[in-house]
Formats: sequence, structure tokens, C-alpha cells
Amino acid sequence: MPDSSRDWRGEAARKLADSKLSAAEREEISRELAGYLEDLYSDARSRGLDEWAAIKCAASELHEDQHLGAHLYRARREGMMNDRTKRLWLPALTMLLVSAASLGIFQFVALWMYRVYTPMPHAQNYPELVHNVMRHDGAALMIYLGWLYTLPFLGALGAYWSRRCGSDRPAQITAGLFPLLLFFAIFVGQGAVGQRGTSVPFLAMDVLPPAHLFFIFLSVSSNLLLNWIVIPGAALLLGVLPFLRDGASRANAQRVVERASHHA
Amino acid sequence: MIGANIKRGSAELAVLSVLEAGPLHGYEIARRIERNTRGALRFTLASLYPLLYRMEARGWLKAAWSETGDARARRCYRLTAAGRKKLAPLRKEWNELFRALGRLAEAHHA
Repeated sequence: MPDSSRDWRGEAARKLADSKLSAAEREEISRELAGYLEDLYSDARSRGLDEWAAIKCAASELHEDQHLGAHLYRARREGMMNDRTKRLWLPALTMLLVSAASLGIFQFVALWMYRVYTPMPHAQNYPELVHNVMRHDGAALMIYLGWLYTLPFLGALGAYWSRRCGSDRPAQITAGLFPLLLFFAIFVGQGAVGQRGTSVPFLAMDVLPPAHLFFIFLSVSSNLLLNWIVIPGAALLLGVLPFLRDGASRANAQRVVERASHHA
Repeated sequence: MIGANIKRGSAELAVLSVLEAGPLHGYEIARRIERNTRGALRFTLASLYPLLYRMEARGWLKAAWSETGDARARRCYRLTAAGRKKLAPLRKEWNELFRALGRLAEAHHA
């Protein structure tokens, strides 16, 4: 027999029992859904439905979606990563880490090759080894150019990833050029370390041995800023540019389509 | 009657629009949308709450428990600054979409 003091909260809690929601979440959501169902029931009664029909009306909404608990769980978790995170911070920070890793890999490969192929007159400790490799004619250039060649790809990947997530043009540019932050840190670090030398490979790398013409040119045009900001920035931008041609219009179109199919 | 996909897509705009006037709880949001769209958009519990939670998690809405006139506790939603900021471009995009569809329909009839 239907009754007006139906336990909507208990019914909602039973509906969510199998979901992955935490106990606290289940408690709060059941309470909220019960409020909705009470209002729906009262509304139906005030429209002239008898008690049984009003209960049926409310219960049908509660049981309309077999997987309500799963959908509510997903909605709460999905929202944890907001649009800005997906479209900007995730691609930007990933590219920053990848660019740092690629620089590290190039340096350690160079260290390894130096150890293997260079006859060592005496035992070298690690800081000496780093120092010698980085000062070695051509070695620094090899590392630098090798790393530089990867940057357009990283810039392109950042911009592409950001665009795929439906970002606008400024976000695509930011995601592509974000590794510049790391380069800026290196620039500042190198400036701070100066000529004192360091055992940290990132900071020890001096790409300007004066013997090489290319380096002489770079030395004259003053090295650190050019090497760590301007040239890498241009390399990243080179990768970003192709994705900006119709980026804005595509992003707008994607956002409209996204919304049209949202919650599908 | 508007088709199901478009209805789903316009859901965020509908919720943000009705909350622009002030905070409402879930049932009021559903009824207000139904009334303002003359029944063209109708939310049920199952379609409304996942949407509200998603929008809340994105920071567009903020919810808080409050007592209603009949001393019952309801979780009321209000627009945040981010939600308000989202509303204008969303309206613009949907207006553009409907204008474009209108032009398409006119061209088809011409």
C-alpha cells in the first residue's frame, strides 16, 4: 500500500549501493536525490494525482537510469580534470618534462660515448668527466643540435594535443612553447653558476667553445640568451606554427560539436 | 519538439541560464527549465544530476545545503564567477549554431 511518508532517502541509497561512490558521497547524494523525489511527489499530488500515481511518478524517475550510480560517479570524477587542465596544463607540463628528459638523454649519451671512445689518461671523477665532455670541441655542439632538432616536434606535439582537446589559439601556443620555462630556468641557472662550473649536466653544458666558427658567431651575439631562449623558442615555434592556421575555427567547431554530443 | 542530441548539448546553457537569476535546488532547476522552454526541454533526475555534478566539479556551479520555506533541507546551486563567464560565450556559440542551421534550412527551401 503506498504511503506519503515513503523513505525516499533509503530508496535512493539502495539505488546507489552498487556504485563506486564513497560512503560519504552516497550519503550526501541520497539525501539530495530524496529532496528531489519529495518535491516531485508533492508536485504530482498538487496536480491532482492520487498517492499511488504520485509515488509511481517519482519512483520512475529514480529508476529510469539503470546505471545512475555509475553515471553520477563518473560525472564527479570527470569534472576533477577541468577543461583548462585538459586543454592547457596537461599538454604544456608534459612537453616541459619531455623536453627536459630529451636534454638529459642527449647529455648522458654524450657522457657515455666520451667514456667509451676517449682514452682516459687518468681516472676522472664524475664532475671532471662532465666538465671535460662539455668543454670538448664538438661534443657540446652535437648535444645541443641533437636536442634542438627534437624541439619542433615537441612544440608541434604540445600544440596538436591542446588543439585536439578543443583549446583556443592562445592555449595551443602556450602548450607548444611551455618548455621555454625550463630553458629560462637553465638560462638563469647558468647565469648564476657562471664560470664556477658545476657537476649538474644541465648547467654544465657550455655550447660555445670558441674554436668553432658557429660558436664564435654565437659567442659574439651573446650566447646564453640566444642559446637557451631565442633559438630553442624559435625551434618550438616552428613546430607550433602549422597547427595555428585553422586552429581557432576548428577549436570553436569542436567545442560546439562536443557540447552537442555531451552526456550522450 | 527539439531532438535528443541538441537537447543534451544545450543542457549546460539551460542550467547556467536559469541559475543566472539566482540560486535554485535541483527540482526547481528542472521545473524552471521546463517552464521557460514551454516544455521543449525537460530534465529528469537521471539527466539532471550527472550534469549538475559535472558542472559543479568544473567550477561553474557551487552548491550548499539550505533550508527551504517548509523547513526541508535542499542542496541549492548557484553560479560561480567561472560559470557566469562561461555563459556569454556559450550563448554566442549556440546562437551561431542555430543561425547557421536556419540559413541551411532556408537555403534548402530556396
